[in-house]
Amino acid sequence: MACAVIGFVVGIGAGVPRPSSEEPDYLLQVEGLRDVTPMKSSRVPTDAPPAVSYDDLGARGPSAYKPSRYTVADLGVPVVDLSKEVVIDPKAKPGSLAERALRRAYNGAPPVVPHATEQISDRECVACHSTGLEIGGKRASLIPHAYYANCQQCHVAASPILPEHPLAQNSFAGMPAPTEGGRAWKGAPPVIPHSTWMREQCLSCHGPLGKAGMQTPHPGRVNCMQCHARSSALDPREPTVATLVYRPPVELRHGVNPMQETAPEAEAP
Amino acid sequence: MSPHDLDRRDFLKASAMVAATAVASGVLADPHAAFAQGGGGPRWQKAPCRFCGTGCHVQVGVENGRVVGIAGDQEAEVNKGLLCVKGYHVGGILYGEDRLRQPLLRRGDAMVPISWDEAIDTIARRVLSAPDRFAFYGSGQWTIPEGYAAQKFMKGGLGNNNIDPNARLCMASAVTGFLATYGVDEPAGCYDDLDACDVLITWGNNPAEMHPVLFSRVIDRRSRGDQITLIDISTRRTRTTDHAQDFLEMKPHGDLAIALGIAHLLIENETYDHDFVEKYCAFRAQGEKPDLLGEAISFDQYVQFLSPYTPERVAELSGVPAAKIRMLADLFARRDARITSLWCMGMNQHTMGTAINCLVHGVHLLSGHFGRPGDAPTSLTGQPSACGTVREVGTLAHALPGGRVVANDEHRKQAEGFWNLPEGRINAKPGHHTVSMWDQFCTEGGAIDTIWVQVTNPGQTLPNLNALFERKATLRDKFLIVSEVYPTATTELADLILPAALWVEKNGIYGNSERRTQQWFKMVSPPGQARDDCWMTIAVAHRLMELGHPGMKDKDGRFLFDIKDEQGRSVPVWEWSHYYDVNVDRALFEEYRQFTRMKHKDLAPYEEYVEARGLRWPVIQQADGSWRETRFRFAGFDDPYVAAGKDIQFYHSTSKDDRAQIWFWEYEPPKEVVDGEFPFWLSTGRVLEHWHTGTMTRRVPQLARAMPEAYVELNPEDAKQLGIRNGDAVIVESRRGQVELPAWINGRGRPPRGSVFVPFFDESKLINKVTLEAHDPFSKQPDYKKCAVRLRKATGTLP
Repeated sequence: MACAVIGFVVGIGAGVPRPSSEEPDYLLQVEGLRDVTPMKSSRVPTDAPPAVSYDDLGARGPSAYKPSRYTVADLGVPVVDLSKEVVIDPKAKPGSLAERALRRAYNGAPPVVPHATEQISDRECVACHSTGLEIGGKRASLIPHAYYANCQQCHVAASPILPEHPLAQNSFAGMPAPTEGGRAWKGAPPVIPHSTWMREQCLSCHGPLGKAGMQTPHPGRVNCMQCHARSSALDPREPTVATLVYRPPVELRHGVNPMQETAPEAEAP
Repeated sequence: MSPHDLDRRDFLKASAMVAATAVASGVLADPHAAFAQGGGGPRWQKAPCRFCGTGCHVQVGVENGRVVGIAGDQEAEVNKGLLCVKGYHVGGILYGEDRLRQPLLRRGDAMVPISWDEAIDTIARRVLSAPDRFAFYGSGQWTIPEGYAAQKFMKGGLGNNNIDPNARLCMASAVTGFLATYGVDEPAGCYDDLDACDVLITWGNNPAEMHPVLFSRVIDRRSRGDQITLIDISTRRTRTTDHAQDFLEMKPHGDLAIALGIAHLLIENETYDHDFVEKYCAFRAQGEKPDLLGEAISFDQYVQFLSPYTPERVAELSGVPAAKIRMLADLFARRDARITSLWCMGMNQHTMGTAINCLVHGVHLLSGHFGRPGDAPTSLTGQPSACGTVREVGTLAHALPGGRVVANDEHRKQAEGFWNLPEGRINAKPGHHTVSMWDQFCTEGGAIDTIWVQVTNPGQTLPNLNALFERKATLRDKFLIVSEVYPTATTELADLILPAALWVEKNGIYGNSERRTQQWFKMVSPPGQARDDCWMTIAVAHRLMELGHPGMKDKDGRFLFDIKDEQGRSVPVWEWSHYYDVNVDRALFEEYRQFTRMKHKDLAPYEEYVEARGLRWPVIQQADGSWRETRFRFAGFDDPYVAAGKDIQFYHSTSKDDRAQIWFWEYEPPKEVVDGEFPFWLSTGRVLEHWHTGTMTRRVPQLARAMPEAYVELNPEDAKQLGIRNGDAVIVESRRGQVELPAWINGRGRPPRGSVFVPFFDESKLINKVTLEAHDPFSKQPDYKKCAVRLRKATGTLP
């Protein structure tokens, strides 16, 4: 637990530890890699523990921070009432989707990490992301997929010792995220417009901590796919059948188009 | 043309039309419309990942002729839907802005664009002027058909054995270890061992970063309740160590002593597997004239040779406490535990690479931890087809396809038979291996004056670059031809640059670390005038034939690469416009398949691989006509070549009695050791985000952002003593060269005092100017993992 709290504190407060406080220009070269959710420090309680960099942590040891003094409650984590209806602002959605896209090479790519990480261990990742939480305007999303122990195998942070390099120019244009799922009629539950592979936890993006305009209005209902249908056509895999196979049309009298309704023949007198 | 080609080509055409229509009418912008049409979005197709030897399958999403997304392939047994960060971003490697798009020839100081015809003609004339002074340098990134074509062109066409791959720098010692122990190359086990082992021992190996999907395959079992003991034996703490119960920090070359110490204790404690050894093993050591066969020794001699390697002496040599050596020996003594050993460059890039490979196999054989799922000595590879193209096709200076060697009369005859060549065409004398080839090329009057490099970057990966590569710039009449996808350290000194198609811009077949052969189809077009490497080789061969080189014809006067369509008509595949009229990959693969039976590495027909997510050889046809792969070689319960009723049979035994060889090798210190003048050990290697020389991964912004440049990883105490702070510019210098790097104290790993680590991916900071070219006497593989350096703070900061 102590370890978890340290990881939590460091991960949130420290930002990317760098010799200079200025954000290096290289990140500007690729817009998608900029940290797009700057911390709103005013929301951090004034008695929160001081943020430290991992380098300092290594030199001074964890005991320097007396983590036992603090609990998650001290950090001002908002309490979410799952039974309360959430009001969705549809106008906020395009902005939220654009923000989300900035950290991904394509829809479905593992997002890059927008903060510093411990280089040699993954324990700190789990401290915040195993449940998901929000503090000081910073959101740590719930891991949407099954637990894999080696987090940084897929999610990588900016190097903490970066000198300022422009990144290579690359014209790869990844597939975009869909904007909304279709509905069979007005009021029907929308179908899921994206692949659900590695996104089993819908609430990671659509829960109370989801970005504006993307949340579910009813976070208390947890069995999402009871009402929202997924589409096998969106799975990132080769289709097993090119087209659905149906029984042949009912054979009608030769020369009659079975798709065309015809008047029933008059019965023989 | 196969039905698959037709399907695929028609589909491409059809989908391009649909996409064009959709864009024109704005339909795609509306997801509702896409749903109404039953899908929309990219078309997904399988391919193995372009990067390491793990051999994950990805699903490649293609839309409007471009790759737009990547997903882990849920149907792939290797990765079961998971990838690493490189794999998820593999689509981006095609689209770096500086892709090479046209052939370029050096005229004076400048590179000038030329036509493909001129490029092919230039190479052919250069080769024709001195066929014996020409060399082909490839890699484990050659697809199987590419490597096979190069191999046939050189050994069957030119009668020239100067063909070697960068895999010589990568896994040659694993090959010699397998040959010396089992008489045949490649692991007996497979990745299924990772699902079954109770204990995983990593020998100088960091799979958490270098083979992440395989590492996760083991470690994620813990979250399902399995007990996995991970023991990490290494010279530095890494992300792998973070998951280990035990970290054994060893001195460089300590692995030799540790393996000898385990064997010694297994015998002293009488805990070796008496039954397994008696039935299936024999003992070997080097005789007067060292070679891979060695000399048979008795069990008593073996015991006597081992006797000095007491835990206390081993502790002294390795730096690992005697109690830990006993712990390892007790672990191997347990019959109930399933133990898998993993290794890669730590044991292979080693001046005693053959020895340590043999010794680790020996520990497994002696203790009977072999042949049951989970009990396996498993060597990993770093390149996607190091096994498939280099080891199986035999693109090495001494080898022929299918485990044959040029020095063997019978093997040459067989190859000449398969290739329909006149007797005596193939040269019996091995050609120049990698280090020797580049040494000769970089020497005035040396035996090699033209090298053609395909799919690799020796200007960055050769050891001691100043001597083995950079010197080329000062020599006249040396001609370097480079097929590449981006500008690299190698193209910098090239006289002719050929723009190459990359990954899913061409058809291909790879072979991964677990004997799995994997096929994919071309999905998008290469940029500009870029073309397939295999086409380039065939085009040069054809031009040579036109210019009158007699070797480019078989004994019936037909072109070496006479490829026919379904109607039996020859297709002029040397003309680019006709190259894809027929599936050249399939034609070459079917020809190559004939070679694979001698060593029981049987491959199935091409079509079987089109359907499968790879198949592990030997793939044997069943009575019902289906093809069955083999997971556990030499094991009676799975390998069809083991005689009925036998549990284990080493049917390629060098002692011809179905026994594997347990070797004794004497410990020797490294070739270069630290001293007062050069007091730090230097180890080099990879990092998670970059693959080898970064040619591809450094073009992907997400990866470059995470690891933009190389660094020198330092122990905090050493840094303090030298007055070095994080980010300071530090000069790392050996007797051979120097390089300036930013310091990263601890960094991605934790080096012990007196040692530093530098990754080799950064072409702007070539650590291989510093490394040592000393190599293993059998495998000829250099040691990039240990040499002596000194450090000093550079004045000022890095630019």
